[in-house]
Amino acid sequence: MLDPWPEIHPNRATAGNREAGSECKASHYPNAPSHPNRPGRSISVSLPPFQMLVDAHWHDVARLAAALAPPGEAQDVSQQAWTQAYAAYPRLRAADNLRSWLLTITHRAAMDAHRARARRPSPVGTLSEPAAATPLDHTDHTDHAAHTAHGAHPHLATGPDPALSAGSALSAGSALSAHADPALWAAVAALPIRQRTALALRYICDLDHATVADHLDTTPAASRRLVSDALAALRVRLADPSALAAEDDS
Amino acid sequence: MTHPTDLAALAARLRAAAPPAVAPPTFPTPQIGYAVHDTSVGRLLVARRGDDGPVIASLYLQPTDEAYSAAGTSTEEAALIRIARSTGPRILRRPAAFDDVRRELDSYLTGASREFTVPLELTLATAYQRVVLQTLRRRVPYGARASYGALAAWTDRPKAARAVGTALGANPLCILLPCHRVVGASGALTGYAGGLAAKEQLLALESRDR
Repeated sequence: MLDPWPEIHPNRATAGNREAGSECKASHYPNAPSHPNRPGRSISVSLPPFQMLVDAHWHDVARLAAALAPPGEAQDVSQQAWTQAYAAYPRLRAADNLRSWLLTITHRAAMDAHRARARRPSPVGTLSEPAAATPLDHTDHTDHAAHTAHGAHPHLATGPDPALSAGSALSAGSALSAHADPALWAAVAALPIRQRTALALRYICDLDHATVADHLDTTPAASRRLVSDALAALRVRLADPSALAAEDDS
Repeated sequence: MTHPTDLAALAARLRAAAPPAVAPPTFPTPQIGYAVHDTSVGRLLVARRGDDGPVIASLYLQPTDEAYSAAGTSTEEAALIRIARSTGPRILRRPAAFDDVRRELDSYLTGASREFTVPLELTLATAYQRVVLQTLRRRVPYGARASYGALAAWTDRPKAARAVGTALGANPLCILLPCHRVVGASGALTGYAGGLAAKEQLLALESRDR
């Protein structure tokens, strides 16, 4: 009784099963409860279904991406982070801090985006990259660029219904529009990158100083200082957005 | 220089700020996709391999049966966790990838059709459950009823009526594999994952015009 289905669906069931490839092996080994070709699996953690991560954390990932990404690339960075997370997920060894894992991936994706931007040889005359805002586009009005970037991934375009994605674990749909705060995001975007990162991790992601320090590869005291400097700068900037452009260099 | 209350307010503002124009992530075809489908007998979570592979799960989400509820398997998350135990955790919501399954379920539930043609796969069942469910599919056609004891006898374990009941109770492909057609030896409906009312409704549907 190795493969009982053919007796029921001689053509369909097994054909569909085998075409789907390596991920379908379990059904051909009915005596093994699961993953017969991955013996290491049984000693590893049981990870929650990926959709639960998306529902619980996509909002935080989007917020961190918005805080850290280069202008116009928040959507791209967020999408990149999720794509990397989905690819790496089954190999994850621990399930105890998935949010922190996702935020780390997002942080890295944002830094990669900054490096990629810095590597681009010249702001003018380069091959146009539809997925990113042009380097000249340094305005803070990133909505258009973000949407363009989003639409530039045809293979990713058939995703879950956004309304449904936002549905079960959090009621994000209404919260998104209710608390959008463009002035704040613009002010955050104008901070130096390390200050901005420390601030975002501490307040936008609500991590403690020790964790923020880990992310920034520094001490908790230094991270505390970065956060308080950032907060002070942000406060002044929000009070008078035009006055402080020159202070970025310090 | 700094005013603590200002800074606290600013921190609160940062905590509350929604991202500007960042949409939920999208994904290419996942390992396992699922959707929720509301039917006349209850809310189902259906899952399949990829976006058009065999169906591996059809599970009731809103049980009306207290025993089922007490087992703690009534939520979407519990159903997904059950699936992930067999398939691994790469499971994503794909509401648009189940048109064929939705159509067949709806057609069956209105009495317009009597068979399902979508490919099925018993990934979520144990070896014994597979034997029982396969026997069920082969021996108990549309409109028929069988007792747990009869099914046990057909699987060459005549004393295993109770084990058959347990195996049917774990049916991962509700409605698609007709465990509702199995009733007590006395004819009593006994139990059903979707609740006894659903079982009754399905049996009534199948006994129309017969």
